[in-house]
Amino acid sequence: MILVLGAAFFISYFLWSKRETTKTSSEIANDLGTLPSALPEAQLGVSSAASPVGHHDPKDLQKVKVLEQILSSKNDNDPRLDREFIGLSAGAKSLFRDQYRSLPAEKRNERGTVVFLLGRNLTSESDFDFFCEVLREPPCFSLADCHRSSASREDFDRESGEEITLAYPQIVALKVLEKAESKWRQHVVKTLDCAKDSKVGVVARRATVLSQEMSP
Amino acid sequence: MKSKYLFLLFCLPSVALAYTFDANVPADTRKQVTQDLAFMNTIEGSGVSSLHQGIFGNVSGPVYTRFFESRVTAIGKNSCGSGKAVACVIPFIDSSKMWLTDNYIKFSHPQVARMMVVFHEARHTEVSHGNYPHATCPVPFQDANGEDMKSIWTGAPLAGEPACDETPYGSYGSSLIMLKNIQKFCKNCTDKVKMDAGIYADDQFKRITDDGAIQAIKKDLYR
Repeated sequence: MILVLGAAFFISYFLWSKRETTKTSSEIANDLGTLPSALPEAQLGVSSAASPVGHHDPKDLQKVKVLEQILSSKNDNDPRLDREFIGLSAGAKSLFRDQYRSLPAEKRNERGTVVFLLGRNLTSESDFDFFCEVLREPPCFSLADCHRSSASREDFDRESGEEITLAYPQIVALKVLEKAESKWRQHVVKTLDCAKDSKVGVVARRATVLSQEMSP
Repeated sequence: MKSKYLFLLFCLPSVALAYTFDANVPADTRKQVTQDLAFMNTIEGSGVSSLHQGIFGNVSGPVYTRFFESRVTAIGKNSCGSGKAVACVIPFIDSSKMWLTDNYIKFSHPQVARMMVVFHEARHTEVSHGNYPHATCPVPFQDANGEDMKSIWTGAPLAGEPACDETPYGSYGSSLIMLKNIQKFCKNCTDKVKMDAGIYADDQFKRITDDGAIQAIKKDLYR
C-alpha cells in the first residue's frame, strides 16, 4: 500500500514538474505579474497613427504603452492608474489626446479613462480645449454602434446604467471640471459652456447646474 | 513556488468554484467575469454605512464574494430577451443561475458598472424575498428638474413601468448602497473606481421612489 502511494506520488510529481517547464510565455508572464503582450490593435481599437514613433520622447511613449496595457486588461483597479500618470508632460498629453481620438466611439470606458487621466494634469489653458472637444461630441446612441439609434424597444430596467455609460467620457469630463482647482475657475466656466447645448440630456443638465454653481 | 504546487496537488479534490459555468459561456466572458469578481474580492474598506452592514456586512472583498456565491450557483449564456442586456436572472428557469450575454464583453462599461449589474441581478435570485421584483414607477415619474423620466432609446416614459424600487433593499437599492460604500470607504480602490462607483450609484438612486427609502438612503450615505 505504501509502495502504491509512493509510486502515485512520484508519478504525480513527475507530471507536475514536466508541466511547469512547458508553460506558455503568457503563463510565465502572468506568473511574473507582467501583462501579456499587447492586444492586436484592431481588438484594442487603437490605430498605429495614434502613437507615432520617432518624434516623441521615449518616456512619453512609455506612458502611452502603459495606458494601452491597462485599457486592454479592462482592470480599472490597476494601481498604476493612480501613480503612473501624474505630472504628464505636454508631449505625453498630446499623445493621450491622439489616443482618445483614435479610439472607436463605442469604447466609452477607454475614452473616459483617458479623459480622467488628462483631467489630473490640468496645467495650461490649452488643456481645457480638449475638454471642450469632448463635451461637444455628438451623442453615442448605442454601445454596439454609437451612430445607430436603437430601433428596438426600451429596456427600462437596464437603461439607468447604460445611459451613464453612453455619456461616460462627457460625464467624466464634467467631474474633472467640477473638481478642478479654483485657479482654473474661469476656464472651467468657459468650458462648461461647450456642454450646455449638448444633445445628451444628462450632460447638458449637469453642465448647466455646474455653471450656475460656479459663476460669480 | 514548487511547494505551493505540491500542496495544491493534494488539496485539489477539495477545491472547487462556488459557481459553475455552462459549457457555452465563451472563454473570454468567463475570464472577464472571473477577473471582475476577483477584483471585488480584493476590496478593503475603512468603514461601512448602516444600510450596507444590514445587507452585506462590512465593505470587504470576502463579504462581497460570499454574498455573490451564496446566491449564484451557476453562470450561463443567454440573450436575456434584449439586445442591450449584459446579465439577467430568469427565476422561472433557475432562481440561482445568472445569465450573461455577449454584451458583458462587447459593451465598454467601466468595471464597477459591470459589477453593479452582476450584484443587481444577484439580488433577484433571492426566492425568500420574492426575487425582489421591481416596483412600478410612479405616475407621473419626474427627475429632480421636473422632467419626465424617459427611455433613453425610445423616449417612452418610465412612469408606470416596473423599473423602480420602493425599498433600499431591492436590486437598485442594494447595488447603489454597495457602490456608494465603495466610493466612500474603499481604501485600496483606484480613484477611477471610486469615482465610477459614485457616478453609477447616484444614477441608480433615481430609481428609488419611496420617500421613506429615499430619506433612509440619504441619511445613511449622502450626509
